[in-house]
Amino acid sequence: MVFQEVYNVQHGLIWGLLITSFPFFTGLSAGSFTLSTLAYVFDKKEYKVISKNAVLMAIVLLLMANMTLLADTTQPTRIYNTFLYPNIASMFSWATFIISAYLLCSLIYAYYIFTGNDKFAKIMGIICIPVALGVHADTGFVFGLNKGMVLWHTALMPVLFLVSALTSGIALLIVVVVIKEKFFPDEKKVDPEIIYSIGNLLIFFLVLEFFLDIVDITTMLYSAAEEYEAIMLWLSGPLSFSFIWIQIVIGGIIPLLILSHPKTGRTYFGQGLAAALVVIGTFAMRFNVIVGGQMIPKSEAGLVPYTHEIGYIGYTLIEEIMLLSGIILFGIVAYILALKYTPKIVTLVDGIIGKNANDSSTEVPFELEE
Amino acid sequence: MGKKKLDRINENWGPKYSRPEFRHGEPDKKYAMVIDLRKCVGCHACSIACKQENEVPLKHYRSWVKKIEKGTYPNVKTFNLPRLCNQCDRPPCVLACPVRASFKREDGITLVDFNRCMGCKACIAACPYNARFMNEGPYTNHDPEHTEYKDTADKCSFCAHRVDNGALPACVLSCMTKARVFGDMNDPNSEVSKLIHLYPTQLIKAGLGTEPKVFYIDADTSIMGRVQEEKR
Ligand code: SF4
Ligand code: SF4
Repeated sequence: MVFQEVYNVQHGLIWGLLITSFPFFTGLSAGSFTLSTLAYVFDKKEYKVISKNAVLMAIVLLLMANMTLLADTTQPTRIYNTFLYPNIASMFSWATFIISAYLLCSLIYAYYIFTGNDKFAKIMGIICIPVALGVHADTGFVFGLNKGMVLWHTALMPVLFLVSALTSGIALLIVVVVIKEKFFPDEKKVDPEIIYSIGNLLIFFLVLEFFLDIVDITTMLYSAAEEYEAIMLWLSGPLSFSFIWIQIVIGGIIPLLILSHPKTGRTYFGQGLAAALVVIGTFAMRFNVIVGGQMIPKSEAGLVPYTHEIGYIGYTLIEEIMLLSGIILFGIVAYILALKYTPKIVTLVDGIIGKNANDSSTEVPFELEE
Repeated sequence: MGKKKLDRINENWGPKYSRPEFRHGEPDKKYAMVIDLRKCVGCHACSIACKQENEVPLKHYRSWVKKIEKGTYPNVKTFNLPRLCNQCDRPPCVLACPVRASFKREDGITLVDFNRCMGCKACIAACPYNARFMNEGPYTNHDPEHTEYKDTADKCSFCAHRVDNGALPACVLSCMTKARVFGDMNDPNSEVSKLIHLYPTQLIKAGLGTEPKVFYIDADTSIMGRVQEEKR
């Protein structure tokens, strides 16, 4: 049958780059947080050196994620309504609560790490890990529960988001540590062996992500006509470059080769490069999923173009990029400041809280200081 | 519609969407619409009437007419499909709203509380029918105090401000062939009930289980959802 659309109202994109980077940032945050708990919860003492870096990064990234979300809502001053009128069926509503809980408990966790209180750090870590992972699974649900969006509506979505969160979080931590080692060599050294073993972890998660991608795509290819068309958007449509080349090749295959090759895998440069590529690939994945999902129209023919002119994004592309750069810049500055001033802030907080904290920190007298 | 009725509309339609009586509607009613496509000529009068009635800004539509051409010469025909919010009985948009700004009244009308909506767009993503949009405003939405709303989600309200006062929705009134029929589904003698029971009806994307309350008569199901366009 030949159909032609004579007239229809075009419905454009809802969410652009800002919301694309929301799961990107929360993913990085959840990943680096999980890594920081390795030393305390899973008793992998060799990872202790990176715990502080990782937890600060997790907090800063979470703040960045919240900023993207706030910037994207059109009435940000009404955000308090999420606490006044919670909706148990809404994954966005859950997100506000889980993110708040996550922020709170990661702050407490960071405080215990910096005061060297291993026991409480472990308890907080155990409480926090499910919350951190929950944040991300919830983000997956925010997209995966929309039954009108063919590309999003799959049970794999939360798992996919969770795994890519861990992948990108680990990768970003490697990048940060490598940069720190290269450019600030006079600071405390991180044992290269640790970075390499984190690299091995990265390989594991990369392979897992690959597997999930393949499962998702294969199922879609064999599904109803709409799903087939949706997945063809990735394989041969306008997103094929971003999907095949950036997400799969640059963000997956090349890092895997670099990491698993005995020569390149055991150098700082190789590790850093591979990890940076993984971070780029993960951003491409978020873009492909979130923007790609919206490019499948619900009632029109053809594809929705990726343009900010029609639709409800509310910003132009330039504005979005500028906002995003501002948020990333904030993140970098905040991270550097946090690295520098957190010990001071922690002692200040200690002073305010008074006895209790001092007591506990004298019980375990700075076991952390290597 | 007489002047008296208009006055009553303006009196009763409170400034606050959150007013309790407004949030509930009449419990024993269930509003529905039947669109008889055998009568529809595709004149777009309903789109215009809706725009005027509800101050819908440029580039957005609460109600519009989709036109699809099917076939090749000489066997070709244009199909019209007037579209609006389906006022689903199990609305995904209400489930998605994090602040319960989208809500369902007991009479079956799904509405947006403009005072509460924070513009997260979750409902737009959730609606499988493209019924929602972001309204940049400013719009007063028949608020007697002329409060100006802006930047919230918006959608077809079945003209709840008119229906609550006994008037018909603007699109129904404007339809020159009376293709659009509006009424109470719970009342067995209403015109909608009769049409629904007498004729085979179609729903858009019925498989999604949203239970739409806009019924079509004589619609081509292949053009109701996403159109798989093929260029000639
Ligand atoms: S058609 Fe869309 S906006 Fe209307 S009730 Fe259904 S889901 Fe909600
Ligand atoms: S845009 Fe408004 S109505 Fe829609 S889900 Fe968000 S808060 Fe609710």
